[in-house]
Amino acid sequence: MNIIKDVVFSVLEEIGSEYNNDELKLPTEDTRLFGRNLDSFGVILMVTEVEEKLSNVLGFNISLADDRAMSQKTSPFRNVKTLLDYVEMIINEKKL
Amino acid sequence: MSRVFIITGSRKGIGRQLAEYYLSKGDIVAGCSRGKSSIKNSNYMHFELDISDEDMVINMVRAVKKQHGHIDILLNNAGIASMNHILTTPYTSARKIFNTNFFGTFLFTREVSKIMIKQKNGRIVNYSTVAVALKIAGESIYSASKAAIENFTRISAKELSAFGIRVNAVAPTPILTDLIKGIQKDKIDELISQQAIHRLAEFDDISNVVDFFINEKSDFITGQVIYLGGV
Repeated sequence: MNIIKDVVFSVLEEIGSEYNNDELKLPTEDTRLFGRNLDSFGVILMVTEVEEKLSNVLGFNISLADDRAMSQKTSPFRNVKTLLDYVEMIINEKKL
Repeated sequence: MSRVFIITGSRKGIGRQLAEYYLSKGDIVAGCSRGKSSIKNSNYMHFELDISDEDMVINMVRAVKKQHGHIDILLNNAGIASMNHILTTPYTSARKIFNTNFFGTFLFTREVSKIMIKQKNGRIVNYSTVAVALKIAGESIYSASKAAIENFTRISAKELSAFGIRVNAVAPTPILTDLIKGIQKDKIDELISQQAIHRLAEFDDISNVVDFFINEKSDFITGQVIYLGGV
């Protein structure tokens, strides 16, 4: 969904500007997140921002808490593509 | 600017007294309980919910943020007690105690911290009990749920300190509220006899510790558990 992509990209651009990170300032679906451009603090900031902005846009609350959040291999936050897929899955589950 | 509190379990007992105490100081309080509000004050907003219901907790915290723009202090006050031998404790009762005491504290801490992280400031006070230190027979599940809160307090203090959030806990002695209504008098007497100061706690004893934890001058105090009564 474009709406998810817009929100995620805007959050990454904000974080990129705040931390002066060029890869995050110009994100693509291949941009790596946790383990390269974001540490655990960065992931927490990104998750809280994405949750809040998406909840405002969608009109219902979502939580991106996940047991694999801090896993280098399976974290849904390891790159932009996995993040977008994960957010879409959470939203679809919420709509059911 | 008024401070904004979230106080769980604010319909009766210590939670209600704390809510009224901070409202009387001009603060804004958002409270919750399973039942309807017992507080009438224009600076008070009430939410009827089960604090172990994730969606309800998320909705409440975001509603408070939307209404007031910030959340300064979280008092994880809601709790239930139980006296029973482990061999006669139903699994459903044990789960219910952990749901309210521990998982409620976890959920509110997680959701309110998301707001506090952006503010780079916040104070959280959790509730333990002297029963954790005294290890009273008959309080295994209740004490275990509160022991979990103590470790959660210490570790969340570490995880959240980088974001300007302080987390501490107060561990009261018994106080005359509904929480100990069903507990035998001899058990309460046994517990009080093990304190350095042999009396029940009063509301001021608890509010004094909460005031200390949330005071701006206490900005070097985090991850601590203060026991009342000299335990």
